[in-house]
Amino acid sequence: MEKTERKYFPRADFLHKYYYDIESILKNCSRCSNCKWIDQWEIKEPRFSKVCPSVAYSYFDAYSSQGRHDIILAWLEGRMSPDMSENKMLEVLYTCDTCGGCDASCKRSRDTEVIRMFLDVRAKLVEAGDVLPEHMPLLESLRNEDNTMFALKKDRGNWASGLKVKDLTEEKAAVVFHAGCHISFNEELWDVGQKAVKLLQKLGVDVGIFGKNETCCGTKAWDMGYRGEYKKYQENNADAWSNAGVKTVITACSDCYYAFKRLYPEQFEVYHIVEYIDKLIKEGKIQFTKTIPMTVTYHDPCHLGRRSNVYEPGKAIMGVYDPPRDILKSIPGIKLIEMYRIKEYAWCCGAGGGLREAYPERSAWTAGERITEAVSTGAEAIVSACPWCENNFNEAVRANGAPIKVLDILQLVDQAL
Amino acid sequence: MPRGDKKHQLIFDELVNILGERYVEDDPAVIEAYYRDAISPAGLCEGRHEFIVLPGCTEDVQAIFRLANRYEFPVSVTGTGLFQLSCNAHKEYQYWCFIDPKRMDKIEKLDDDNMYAVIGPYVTIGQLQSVAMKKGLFHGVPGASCQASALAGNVFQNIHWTSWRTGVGRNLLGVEWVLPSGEVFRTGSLAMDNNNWFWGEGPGPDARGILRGHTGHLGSLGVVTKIAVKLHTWPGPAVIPTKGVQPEKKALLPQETFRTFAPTFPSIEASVDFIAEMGKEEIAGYVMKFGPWDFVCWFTSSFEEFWNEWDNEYWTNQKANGHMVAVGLWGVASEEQLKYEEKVLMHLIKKYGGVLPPADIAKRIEDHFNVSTVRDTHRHRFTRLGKVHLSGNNTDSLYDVIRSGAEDRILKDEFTPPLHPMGPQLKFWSYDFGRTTWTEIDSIAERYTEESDRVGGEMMQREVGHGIQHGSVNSLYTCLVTHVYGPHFCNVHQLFGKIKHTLDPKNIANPTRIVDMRALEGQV
Amino acid sequence: MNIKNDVASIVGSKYVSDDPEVLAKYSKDHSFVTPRKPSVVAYPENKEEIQQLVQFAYEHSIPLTPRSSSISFYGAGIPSQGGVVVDFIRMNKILEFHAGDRKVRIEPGVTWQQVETELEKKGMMVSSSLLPPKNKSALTSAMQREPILSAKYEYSDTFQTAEMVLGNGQVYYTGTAIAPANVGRSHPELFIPSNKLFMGAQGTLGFVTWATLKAEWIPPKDKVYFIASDSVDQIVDPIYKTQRVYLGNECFALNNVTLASILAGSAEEFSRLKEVLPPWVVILNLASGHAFPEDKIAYEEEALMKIAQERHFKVSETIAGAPGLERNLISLLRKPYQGDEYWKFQFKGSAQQIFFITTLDKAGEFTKAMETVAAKHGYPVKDIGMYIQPIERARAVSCEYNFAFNPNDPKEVARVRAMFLEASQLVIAMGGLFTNPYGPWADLVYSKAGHYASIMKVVKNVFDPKNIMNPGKLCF
Repeated sequence: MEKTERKYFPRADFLHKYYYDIESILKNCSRCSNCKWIDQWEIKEPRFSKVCPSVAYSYFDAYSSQGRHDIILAWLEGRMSPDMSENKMLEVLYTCDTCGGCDASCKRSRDTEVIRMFLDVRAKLVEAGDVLPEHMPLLESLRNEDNTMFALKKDRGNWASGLKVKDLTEEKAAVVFHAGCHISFNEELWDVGQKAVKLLQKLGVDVGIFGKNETCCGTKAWDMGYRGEYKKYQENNADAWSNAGVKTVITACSDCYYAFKRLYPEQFEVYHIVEYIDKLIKEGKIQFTKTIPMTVTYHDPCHLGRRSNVYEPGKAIMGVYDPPRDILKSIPGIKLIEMYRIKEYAWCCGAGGGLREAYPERSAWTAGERITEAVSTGAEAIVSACPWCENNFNEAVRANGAPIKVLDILQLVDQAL
Repeated sequence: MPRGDKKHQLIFDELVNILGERYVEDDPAVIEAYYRDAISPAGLCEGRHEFIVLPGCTEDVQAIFRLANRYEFPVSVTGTGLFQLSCNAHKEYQYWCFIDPKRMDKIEKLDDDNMYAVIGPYVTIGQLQSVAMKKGLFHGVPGASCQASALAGNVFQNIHWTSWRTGVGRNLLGVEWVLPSGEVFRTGSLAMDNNNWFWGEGPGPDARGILRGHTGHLGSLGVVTKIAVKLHTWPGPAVIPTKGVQPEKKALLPQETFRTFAPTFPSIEASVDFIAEMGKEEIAGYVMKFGPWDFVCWFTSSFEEFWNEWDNEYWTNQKANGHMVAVGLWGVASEEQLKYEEKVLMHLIKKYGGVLPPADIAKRIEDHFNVSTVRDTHRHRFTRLGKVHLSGNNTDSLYDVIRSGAEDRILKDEFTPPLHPMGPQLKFWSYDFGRTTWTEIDSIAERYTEESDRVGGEMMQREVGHGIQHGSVNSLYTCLVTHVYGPHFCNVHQLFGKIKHTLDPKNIANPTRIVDMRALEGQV
Repeated sequence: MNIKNDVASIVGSKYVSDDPEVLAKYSKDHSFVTPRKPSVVAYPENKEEIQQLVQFAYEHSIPLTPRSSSISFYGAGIPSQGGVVVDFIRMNKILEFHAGDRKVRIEPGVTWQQVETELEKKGMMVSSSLLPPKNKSALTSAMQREPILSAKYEYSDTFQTAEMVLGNGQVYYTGTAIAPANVGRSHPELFIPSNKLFMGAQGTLGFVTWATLKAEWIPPKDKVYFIASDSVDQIVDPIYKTQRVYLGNECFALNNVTLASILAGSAEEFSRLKEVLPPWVVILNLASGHAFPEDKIAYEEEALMKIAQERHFKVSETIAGAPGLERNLISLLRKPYQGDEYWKFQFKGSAQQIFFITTLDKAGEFTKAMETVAAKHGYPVKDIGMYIQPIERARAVSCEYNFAFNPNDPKEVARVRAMFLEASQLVIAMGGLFTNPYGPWADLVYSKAGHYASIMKVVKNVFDPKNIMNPGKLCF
C-alpha cells in the first residue's frame, strides 16, 4: 500500500483550523466528559475525583467545559445572544474560575486549548459590550485605583512600611519584587511579602519594590476578558521595570507570575519565589537550621501550575509543581502528604477568573471543598504559594471551623532558616 | 418550543415543587448543553429539551414520572451523556423533560467477598474502580472510558476491553428501575427484598430480558435508578502507579502480573483461528483484534504525532498486509501463571504465522495498553482525528466475523473517499474466550464538510437496507431503529411495542427510541 | 371440536395419545405438585407442527404444557389446567455443531446422554450440573439455569440463543438467531426482548424448538484435589480464596450423603460410604490447557498449595473412604448419571430437593436452618444430602438440600411435604432466592415479589394473550 494519500485530508490548513479556529475547536468536543473529572488514572477516592468546580457546584452540564462549548457555538452561529434578560449565557461563561482543570483533562484526548479559547471568547464578549454587571466594581477598582482589592492606591505600599528596601521609583535594582494586589492590601498576608523581601536581601539579591507605585499585573483583567485593561498594566509595568534597570522579576503571587511569565513579552527573567528559593537550595546557598515538626499538604495554585504551561500538543502540561514540594521536603521535620488532586489535576481554590468577585458563594464553596480534601489527608496545615489561594482558604477555614492552618510556603521557609 | 406558555409554567412549577428551585432549569443556555454528541449526525440533533432536572433519589424520579403522566410530557435520561443521540429531545415533541442524574452519585455498598457493588446512575467507572481496586476488584471499561457512568454502561452495550473473560451484557445483578408509571420495579433478589442485591436472575422469567438487548431500552421503559453490578478479580495494585505529567504521564503496571503483546497475522482468517485457539486455551485478560489506527491513535499523544506515525513504513505496511491482535496476559494466580500463558501465547503465535512488532513499537503498545484497557480515559482520541463513522457493529460468533467483516469492508470501501483509506482492516474483539465477538469498522472523514456529514447517514441507510434485504443486522442500529427492522425480523417491534404500550400507555418515556410508537399506531 | 382428532390432524394419529395409562403418566412427576391429567399427549416432530398446535390451542383457548424429558422433578411439566401435553421427545436432533465457535444447536428432545456422546467424539462437552439424569433434556437444563460444575467462568449458564413458538403461533428468535444471514446466530442479545427473559420461564412464554448452547473443550488432563472438613463453615474460605484467583475448573462442595449417593452402587455401600467419607469435601479439579497440559496444572497446583498454607486448610490428592476416586471422579462427572435409577432417589425411591441461590458466606446459616427444620419434623439430619455449587468464581452459590424418602410410606410423604414447605418459607425469609419458583415455591415467591409478578404478567400477555402456554405455573 502506498503512503497515505492525503487527497482529502488533513489539508495543510487543517492544523491551523484545528488549533486556532474557535468554531473548529467547539465542534471538536466529543462530549466525553473528561473535562469534569481529574485524570482518571489518578482517581483514588470518589469524593475527590472532580476537577471542574463550576459543574461540581451547579451540576448542569452547561457549567462544564463541554457545556460552554455548546453555548459558545450557539452564540457564534447566531442561535443565542448574551442577553441576560433572555438566558444565562453570560452567567454560565463567567461562573468559570479559569482554573484550567478542564483544559488539562481535555488534552488527554484532544489537541486543544480549551482555556485559551474561553478567554478569547470572554475578550470578544467584552469587546462587544456584553459584560457582567457583577464585574463592574472590580473594573472600577482597577481603573481608578490600579488594584483588584477595592482599596486605595495610596495605601498600596503600606505592607512594606518599616522594610528597608530600595524604592524603584527613585533607585535602580537588578531585581524587582512584585508584591501584587493581594499581598499589598491584605494585612493577613503582609508578612509573606515582608519575608520574601528580607529573604532576598539576606541572600544578597539586589532587590527593590515599587511600593505604592506598584500596579496590578493585569491577570484578572485578562482572565475576565478585559484585554485593554490588561494591556495598560503590561505596558506600564514593563516600562517601569525598564526604567529601574530591572532584569529579573520575582513575585510570591501566582497570578502575577502567570502574567509576567506567559503573557508579558519575554523581556525579563521571571521567577516565582518558590523557584528562586528552590534553585538556591539546590545550589547549597540556603540551608535550613531549624526543625518544624508538622505534617502539611501542598496546594498547587492554578496560575503557578497548569495555567503557566506553554502548550505543545502531546507534551506534558508543565507548571511549577516540584520546586515548592522540594522546598517542603528539605525543611527538617516537615512531612509532606499529598492531597488526591495535585499538579496538573489539582482542584482550584475558587478565587480566579473573576469568580470571587462576581459569585462569592461559588468561590467560597470551591475553597471549602479544597479544605475538606486537605483535612481528609490528616495534615495540620495546607500550604500554598499564592495569596489568592491562601485568602480563600483562610475564609473557608473560618467559615467551616476546619481543623487546619493555612500557610504560605514562605512562612515555613522563614521559620526554618 | 412553547416556552413560557401556561403548560410550560405549570410543569416547571411542579418540578420545582418536587426538586427545589436549584435543581430545575428551563433556561435556553442551560438547555443548549444537552443536544449533541460527537458521533451523531447534526440532522438528528435538532431538538432541544425544555426542562433539565436533577433528581436526588429514586423517589424524585418517581415523582417526575407521575407528573409526566399527569400532564403528558416526555422524559428521557442520560448517563454521563456521551451518547446524547439516544436521549436528546425529538423536535416534534414538546415540554421534553431531561433527567441529568448527577446528584445520584453514591456507591452504596461494595461487597468484597461476593464481588459486587451497588451504585447510582452517576457513579463513574473511574470512581467505582478507585474503590474496588483497593479490595482487589475492578469493573471493566468500555470505549466511553472511565469518566462514563458505570450504571449507564451496564444497561447499554456493556462491552469492555476486558470482556474476553468477563463477557458482555451480563454484569447486572439486582436492578431497581422506575417504570414510566412511576412505580419502582425491582428485579432478581431485589424483587424479594429491597436490601438484597446480590443476584440478578428472575425470579422465574428474567426481567433483564426486557431491560436490555444489545443495548438497553434507552429509557423508553423508564429509568434505572440503582444497580448491583458485578466486579471481577483485579490482580494489580490498589492504586494505579503513575509517573510524570499528562499527557506524557506513564502508568506502568507490574510486568510480573501484566504483559501485552501485539502479534500481526497474515490474514483475517489466521487472526480468527488464533483467537479461537486462545479461547480454547482459556488464557489472557483481553484479546482484541484492532485495526492499525486503533493502536496508533490510542498511543500517540497528539494529532501531529498520529499522522507522522500513521504514515511511517511500519504502519503503512500494517494497513495493507497485517492483522494485529492485542493480547493482554494477567498473572491472576501468580507470576507462574503469566509465564505459562506467555509460553502458550508464543506457541500459538508461531502456529498461526504471527509476528511480533519491533521492540520499540511493542513497548509503546504494551506500556499503553496494559493500563488503558483497565483505566481507559481517552479512547476519544479517535474522534479528534476527523469525523468518525462506525460501520459494521455486529455482534455474533467469532467465525461470523469473516462473513460480516467482508460485507462491512465492501460498504466502507464504497464510501472511500470521502472516508480516509484505512486499509482492509477490521476491528473485532471477543468475549467469553472467543465465543461471541463484536466487530466494527471505524473510519474517519474530514470534519465540517457536507460530504462527510452526508456519508454517515448514507452508510447507515445502506447498512440497514442491506441487512433487511439479506437477513443480517447491525447490532447498534437494531436498537436505534427497531421499528424499521421489526417487520422483517419476526415483528419484534410489535412485541416490544406491546410491552411499551402497556407499561407506558401515554408514551412519555423517551418517545421514538427503540420503537417509534407512531409507526405502530393501531397495531398494539 | 375433538381435541384428539384435531391434534392428530397436525402431528399424525400415531403421535397423539389419550390412553389413560399414558395420561396418568403425564399427570404427575417426582414433585408434590397436585396431579392433573391432560386431555391428550402430542408428540410433534418439528417447528411447523408446533406452530399449528399452538394456533389450534390459541383458537380454542386450550392449555398446552411442554415436556422435554422422560424424567421430571419439579412439576413444571404437569398440566395444571388440563389441555394438551406437548412432548418434544421426537425433536431429538443435534442440528449443528461448530468447534471454532464452541456451540452446539439442539432440539428440545436431545438428552444429556446424546449430547455427551456426540460431543465427546469431538473432544468437547456441554457444561452441566451435578450428574443430571441421562434422559433429561439438555436444552431444558440450560433454559432452567441449572448451575454448572465449573465455577471458573464469568457466566453460569450455557444457553445462547433459541428459536421458539410464541403463544399466538408466531415464531421468535432470541439474540442473533433472528438474523438468518448471520453465520453465528449465537449471540444472546440483540433486540428486546432478549434471551434472559425466556430463561426460567418454564415454557410459559414460548416453546423452544431449538437452542444454541455453549460447548467447551474437554481438558486433556485433570488433577483433582480434595479439601475435607468437618463442617460446612470450613469450606467457605477455601472456596472464596481459590476461586478469587481463577483456580481450577470444576469446583463444588458435597456432604458425605451426596457423595455417597453418587458413588454407591448399593444400599449397603451407600450406608458404609456415609460413615467413612468426611462430613464435607470441596472438590477442586485443576484442568489443563491443551498446548502444555502439565504446565498449567503445575502453576495452579503451586498457587493452590500456597493459598492452603496461608489460609490453613489441608489439600489432598485423595479422599478418605473412597480410595482411587481421584482417578475417575472427573470423567464420572462429565457424563450424565449412568445408573438406571437416578442417584438422588435410588435408595429410598424418591426425594425432594430444596435449591436456591445465596452467597457463600451464608451457606453455613442456611445449612443449619435446613437441619433445624428437618429435625423439627423428625427427618434424620444425617440423611440430608447437601451440595454447594459456587457460581461465577463464587460470587454466589447454589445450595441444594436433598431429602430422600419412601414415596410409598404416607407418613414419610406427609412429613417430607410439611418439612419442604416450612424449609422453603424459611429460605425466603433468610434471603435465599428461588430463581426457578417451581410448584409451591411460586406462591411463596410471588406473594413476596408481587410487583415483579404484575410486570411479568404484562409481558406474558404480550407473548401469550390467551394464557395457553403452560398456564398455572410461576405467577401466571
